[in-house]
Amino acid sequence: MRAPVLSSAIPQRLRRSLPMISRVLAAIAGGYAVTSLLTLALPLILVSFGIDQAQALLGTTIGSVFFWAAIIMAVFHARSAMWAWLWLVGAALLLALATLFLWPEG
Amino acid sequence: MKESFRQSMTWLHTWAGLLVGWVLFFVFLTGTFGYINAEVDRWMRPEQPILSAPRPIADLLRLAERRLRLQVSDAEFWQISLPEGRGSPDLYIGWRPRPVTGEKSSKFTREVLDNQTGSPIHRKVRETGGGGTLYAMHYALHYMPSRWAYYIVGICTMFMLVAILTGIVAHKKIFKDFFTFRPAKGQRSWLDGHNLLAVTALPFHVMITWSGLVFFLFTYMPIAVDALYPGDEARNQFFTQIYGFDRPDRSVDHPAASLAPLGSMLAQTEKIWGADTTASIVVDNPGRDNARVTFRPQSTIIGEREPLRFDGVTGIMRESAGARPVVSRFNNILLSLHEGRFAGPVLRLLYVVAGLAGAALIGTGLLLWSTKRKARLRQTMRPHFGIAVVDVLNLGTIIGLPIGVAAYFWANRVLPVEMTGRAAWEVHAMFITWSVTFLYTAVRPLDRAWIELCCLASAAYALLPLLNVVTTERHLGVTIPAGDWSLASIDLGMLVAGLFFAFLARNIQRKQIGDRAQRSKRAASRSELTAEAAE
Repeated sequence: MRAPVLSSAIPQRLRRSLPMISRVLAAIAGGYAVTSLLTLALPLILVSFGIDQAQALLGTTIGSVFFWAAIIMAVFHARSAMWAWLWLVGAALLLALATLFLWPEG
Repeated sequence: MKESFRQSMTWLHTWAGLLVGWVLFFVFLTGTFGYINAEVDRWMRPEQPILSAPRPIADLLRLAERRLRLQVSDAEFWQISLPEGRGSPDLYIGWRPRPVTGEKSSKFTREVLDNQTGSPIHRKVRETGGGGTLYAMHYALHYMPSRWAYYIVGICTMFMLVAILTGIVAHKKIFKDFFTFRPAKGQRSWLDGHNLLAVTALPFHVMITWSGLVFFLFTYMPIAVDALYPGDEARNQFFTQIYGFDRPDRSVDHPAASLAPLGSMLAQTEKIWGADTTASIVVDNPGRDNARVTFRPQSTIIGEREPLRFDGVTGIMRESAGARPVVSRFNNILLSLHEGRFAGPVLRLLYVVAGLAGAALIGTGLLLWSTKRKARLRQTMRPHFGIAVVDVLNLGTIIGLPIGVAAYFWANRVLPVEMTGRAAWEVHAMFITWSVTFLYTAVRPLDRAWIELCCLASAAYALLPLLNVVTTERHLGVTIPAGDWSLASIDLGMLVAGLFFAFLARNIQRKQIGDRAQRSKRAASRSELTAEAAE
């Protein structure tokens, strides 16, 4: 009856590192997605304040790397990986809504 | 994740730095050569002449123009590159003829002109990658499609940015650290060194990392451009808008019209910029009625001079588009700061020092990781595979890569001048040598390997100026009396690098002897204790 104990040891080890894997994914993939959405939504918001769209897009994208870095830092400080994902999904939804709402006509 | 924000950020700093530290070290070291690429280019082409007192640009332009009008009066474009302070002392012209019917595009031809007579010079110059190939590795790596390299380097650069920001948070007393250095204290000295390098050059590190990402901005963050400017045409228009590209008219059916003399355009240009400030001139569609002439200035601080454009037929200056929008200008400033093309000799030296400080920052960080973990493991006395791997990667990169770079310079002098594929073999020499240092590191005891490789690096750099004496006529004995400091600076820099590695070897050896003495003292006192206990 020793064999099952041994085989369940590996998934258990994996299960222990799952929160970290999830956090890394949230920081890199989730962070990238939210940052990309920001480079889309923020210029559209700025355009509605009368700023030139091309300049707004350039400026937002130049600054976006710091935004991504901040997301990464926040994800690694979050209480848990689950919380990090919740925040990311919330931010993504907000940005996506703003984009849809402000999307240029035609 | 951890209890406090600082603790989480320290953890993130450690791991973000470790994972890509070796690639970043490569990027910083090879990238530093970008600040001396023109000087290295000249060093690697010793067949080129020593710098001489420059002739007025007006005279050189006359020679170039005469040759181009004679050679290809009707062309897609002409190009004239005037000698600048740092780079080649030669006058270059180039042109692309109009494609013959059925041909898709014609071949660009380049000539070196004698700056006294204006006739083409056919100098035999060795085939070499020069400084250009070396510094291009810092963003295009080597032996892989450059697009992959852009992504790999981009990801690592993003890690660097995170490491910098978390590093700032992790620091309790950033200003106190500035004045703290405790040498020869093992882990403590690495940490002090790491902090000192980080704090002194912090603005440079932030600037270089950020602007590095901005170079490939829309390659890394393409989604918004794709969505807001779909299709090639809209996309090109966007880039013209933000970067101010002004593509020349390439339509072919324009009637012939004679080109106004370039000399009078130069006179107008110099009235605005001052004398002898033009770096290059491009003439689009010479000999047609849509001819256009562009004067580009030598790089000045942060591009305060915009290129000047003339109507090629009337010779009248076109009205400038006015000041560029503020974000575009900011983008320009970031990129100019990264490249530092405007820098004079003193600022250029500072750039080199800052670049090397960046490499040293990463190097000390990597060493700190392994020293810290070893100190923790000493209590349990267990050998650890992960730490052993990091140790090999550290030594093989921090000392091995500089040896590889030295090999690149050696290959330039040692490989037969007539060899085919010579430029490629210079690079192979660099990577083969570097790989050998890794193997050496893996098989030798670590303490010995550190000292031996430092000595090898010291010799490899210190002997380069001597090798130069033996193999060329462009050594220090010639360049210093001639006052060609741009060329001499490379040989002198090699001597400094040689001294640095010798100094490093000596210090590491002292440290190792000290450590060993301490260890045997500790062992001795321990056996005394057991002896007493036995009594």
